[in-house]
Amino acid sequence: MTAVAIALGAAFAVPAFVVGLSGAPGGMQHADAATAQTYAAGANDALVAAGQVLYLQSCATCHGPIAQGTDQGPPIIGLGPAYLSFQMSTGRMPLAEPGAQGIRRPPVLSPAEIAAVIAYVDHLQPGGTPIPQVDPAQGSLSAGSSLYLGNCAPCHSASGNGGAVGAQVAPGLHVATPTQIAEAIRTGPGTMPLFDEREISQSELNSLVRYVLYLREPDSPGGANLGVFGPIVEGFMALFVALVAMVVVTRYIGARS
Amino acid sequence: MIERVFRWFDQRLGAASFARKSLRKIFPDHWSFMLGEIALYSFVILVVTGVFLTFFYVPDSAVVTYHGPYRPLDGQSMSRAYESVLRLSFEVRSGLVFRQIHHWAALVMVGAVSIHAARVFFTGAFRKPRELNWVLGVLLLILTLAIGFAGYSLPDDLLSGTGLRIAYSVVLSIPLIGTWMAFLLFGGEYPSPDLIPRLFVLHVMILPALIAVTIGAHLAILWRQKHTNFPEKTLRPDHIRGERLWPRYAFKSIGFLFAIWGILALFGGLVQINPIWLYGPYEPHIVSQAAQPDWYMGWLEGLLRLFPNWQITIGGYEIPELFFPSVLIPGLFFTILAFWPWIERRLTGDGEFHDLLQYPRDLPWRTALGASMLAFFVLLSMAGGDDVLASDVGVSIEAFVRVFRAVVIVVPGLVFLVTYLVARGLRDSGREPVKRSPINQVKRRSDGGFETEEEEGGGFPSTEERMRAAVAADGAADASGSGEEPKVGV
Amino acid sequence: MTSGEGPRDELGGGRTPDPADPADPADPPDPDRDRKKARRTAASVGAAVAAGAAIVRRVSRARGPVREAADPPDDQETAATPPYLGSGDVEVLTGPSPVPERRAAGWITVALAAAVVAGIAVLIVYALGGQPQIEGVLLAILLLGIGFAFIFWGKFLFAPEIVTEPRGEHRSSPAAVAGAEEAMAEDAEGITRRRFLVRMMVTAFGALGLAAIFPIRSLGPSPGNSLFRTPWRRGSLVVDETGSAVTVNTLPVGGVLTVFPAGHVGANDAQAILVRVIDAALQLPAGRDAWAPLGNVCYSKLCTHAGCPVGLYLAGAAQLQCPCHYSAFDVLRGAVPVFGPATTPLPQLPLYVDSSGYLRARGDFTAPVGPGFWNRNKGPSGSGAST
Repeated sequence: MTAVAIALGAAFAVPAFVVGLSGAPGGMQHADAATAQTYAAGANDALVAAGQVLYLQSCATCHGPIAQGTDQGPPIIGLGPAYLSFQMSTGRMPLAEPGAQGIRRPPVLSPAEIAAVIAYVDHLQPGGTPIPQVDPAQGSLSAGSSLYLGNCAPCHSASGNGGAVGAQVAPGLHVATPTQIAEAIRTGPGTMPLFDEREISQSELNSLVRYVLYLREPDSPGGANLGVFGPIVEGFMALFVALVAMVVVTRYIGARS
Repeated sequence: MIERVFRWFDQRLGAASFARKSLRKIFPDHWSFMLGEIALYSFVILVVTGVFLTFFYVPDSAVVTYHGPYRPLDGQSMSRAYESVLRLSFEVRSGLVFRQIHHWAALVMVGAVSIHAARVFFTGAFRKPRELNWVLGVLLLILTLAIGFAGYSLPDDLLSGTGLRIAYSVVLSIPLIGTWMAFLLFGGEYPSPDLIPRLFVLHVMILPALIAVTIGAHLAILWRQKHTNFPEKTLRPDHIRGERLWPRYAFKSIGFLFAIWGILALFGGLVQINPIWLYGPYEPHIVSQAAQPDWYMGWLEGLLRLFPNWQITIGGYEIPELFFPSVLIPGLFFTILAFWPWIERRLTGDGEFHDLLQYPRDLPWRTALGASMLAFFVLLSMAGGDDVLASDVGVSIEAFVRVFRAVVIVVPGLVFLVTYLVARGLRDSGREPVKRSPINQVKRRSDGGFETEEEEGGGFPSTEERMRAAVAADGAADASGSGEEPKVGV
Repeated sequence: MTSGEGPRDELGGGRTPDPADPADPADPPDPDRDRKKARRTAASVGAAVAAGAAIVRRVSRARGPVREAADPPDDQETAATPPYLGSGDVEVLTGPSPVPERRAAGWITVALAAAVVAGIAVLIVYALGGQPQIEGVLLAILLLGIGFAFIFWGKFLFAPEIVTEPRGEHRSSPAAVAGAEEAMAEDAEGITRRRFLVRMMVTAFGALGLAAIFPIRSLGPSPGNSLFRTPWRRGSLVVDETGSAVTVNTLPVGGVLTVFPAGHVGANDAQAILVRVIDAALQLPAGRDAWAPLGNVCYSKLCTHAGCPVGLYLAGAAQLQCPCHYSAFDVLRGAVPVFGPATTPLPQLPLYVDSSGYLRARGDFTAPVGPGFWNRNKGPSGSGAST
């Protein structure tokens, strides 16, 4: 029943959903740009120092003072800026409390603070995956759709709505910023496999991200797309809307008069 | 003019008497008697829209490169079948509307067949002498499921291709003959290039013909046996009550046909269904999350997801785990369903003719059984979407499966118990669900004797028992002498 | 009375005078009845009655044969026991339409006018290039307009009529049954005496059945050993979907790739999934130690449950999952099933690294790929050459 309610809700709330969200990604994109810029400007000592303070406050409890990891959290030293940026800019880190599961929420740290923490951890051991540059406008929609179906749809579904994957959830892709999508592809956060340059080249990355962005408002020549949740929602509509409407007509016809 | 045409035909066919009888045919009046009509009229529009679609669909698995208006697939290689459905959807004028009406009508038709069957089950309409029509009805249900699945598979998109792959594995799992059967049915090892053309012939020729013939027989038998009536206080069991076919019923029924088509057209135009362009062309090594079939296959999908991993090996030969939930259980279910009139007769010992329906309360255990089966199917269908549900509810899919393995057994059991108690309570309370027409009310009021008589009867037993008593009294008054046999069908 | 329908008896006065308003409070409330509905129908009937129309009940003897057992009572008796009818009686109740004719005609006009307008509009839309949503809505108006015009017509422009009549017997009369049996028995000796010929006929039909097997046999090739082998051979070069060769370092740890043998990209039974894990974490079954160079471990991508691709890789848990029915396989321990309906591990593809660093197969998979079947463990039954 819950799913049904959700499905129905989704069916009618899709336009509102899209409109409501369209503000957020823009803001985030801006934040991403700020992070990247600050980072590119060079991890100067002041930034590292500021980052250390923030790191000790927000991260050290689980990941240890020099990011070497503890029994509360994995080592994050040497993973590189992309991984750290993804975890912090999507609000997954820092956790609300130690041991909680990282889920997407509004970022806890500001873009500048994130840049500082990255600078600090990078300073501990430089290297790892850099924050990927992505330019969806350079990508090809067609190449993107092929890559998406081959590599992403098994977990995130053909529509990008996400779904359950074992004990985890593959998140929906409709709110992530282009940079965050690219970071996830390059670093494989959580249980996700990672895809580096040898598997998905820079131009393929652009195409892939372009297609993911396209999935937010895919062409729907057939009318209301019901959130593209597939046959479950379609079956619900057929049985509980179309068929019920017909039964209402039978009641009108059948009434003895 | 009409008279002249009629005379012309009558001089050749002598059909006047048949026509008169047919126009006077009585159709009992209850909304639930029109559920079958929804199925029939959906089938008609499926044929109409389907014929249009065949002009554009190409049943061919040869690989082509797409260059069409849908840019995300531009330059990708795909089967001609998939390409033709893209063309139908994006380039053929009105093609998409017709395709969507067709698909919505298919989903609705299976639903209508199912609730029609449920109505017949719960009211005991399958009892003697209507067993034959019950069997034909079960056959129609199976044929509808089959044609739906075949049609769903034709576009050769990623979602339906995955379903076909599972169907092949299901056939393969049958002991002893499975491999041969799979190779003969699918034209060799999966995926064979013969598969799409075969599905097409099945979907547009063999199955529609079988369905049309079976519907014909179903209706002919209905015509011969006449429709059942719900019991009414003033209705003898050997009488039928309703409206004559001509003109009121015919007008309303024709109107209903167009109303159904109108609702389907509204859906076909406004609500997108099966956007195959998002699912992408089928490739055997690609798969997408949220791999669900259309709703009517959901219970099978759920069975497959929930059934424990039992495999039996006999002397080195294997009965794969897939066989039990996908062949054995559905096979048993449909067999029991088809033979239900005889099974129930064994259990109740009731071999009488019945033209009056039962209310669900009249036979509580049957009602409870039907309700628990419905609950079972709903739960299985939910399990068929466990990946979508689990992420909505926020539990892991493994927890969901573990819980649901118990839920699909326990909840139907509870449903059985509760339905049984409620139905029995209602039956014993003596409150009768007898409907009254305004005309009947007026008639009753004008005849005080009737009301008095009813009250003297005291403590309403079952509706039908009372009818029997009424006829018996009537028969005694007639003093006609056929003693040993029940003289009228009850 | 209102329509000429052959000879009939007027019963109970025929015309039912309705002195009391149906909504009369003296009427004892009926517990079964939905009160609201009752009030509505009562009001409409009352209005119609007030307008001068009458509810008429006519009872007549059925024409033609009725149930044999049902000796029709004579008119006196029938008249004495209303509202029960004698078994041969036909009862026709007619009453006024619940909606005044003029109003109903107005509704029908509106519905048909909407249909006509929508019909013309849909043509225009089509001529202008078509638009699915507008077409659907206009089509719906067209069809619903016609539909409701018919429904209103049926409901309101014909006098409501409730007819009760004998059903007639389901079975034929004994005489008819006897007649049919007699007809069938006629010249039956011509069949029963010719036992030998009957047997021959049955045998001939058997032969026809046998002959029918051959066209069925043409439907597909013999399974032969095709389920037991795939295009992978010793030395097959491992390539990805685009056909480029895969080296031992193509994948990062945590990466995953669908691979095929060179020359067979896209082949269903050859599809394999290459996963890179930390070498030391592997706990493959005995004898497979060398099969996963530098943690590149490769399994058949066909689920052993129902044959879907196990395309879903959880790098964190090193599990492969099938999104069709959610069987999970442990990549580190030889892809044994750890959850879900599958019983059999994914067959492993043994790999080695050639001198240039490319991955190659040591041979075919460890077992037949895909879902189970009857003789999977027995090998191909020798019957029939593979086609």
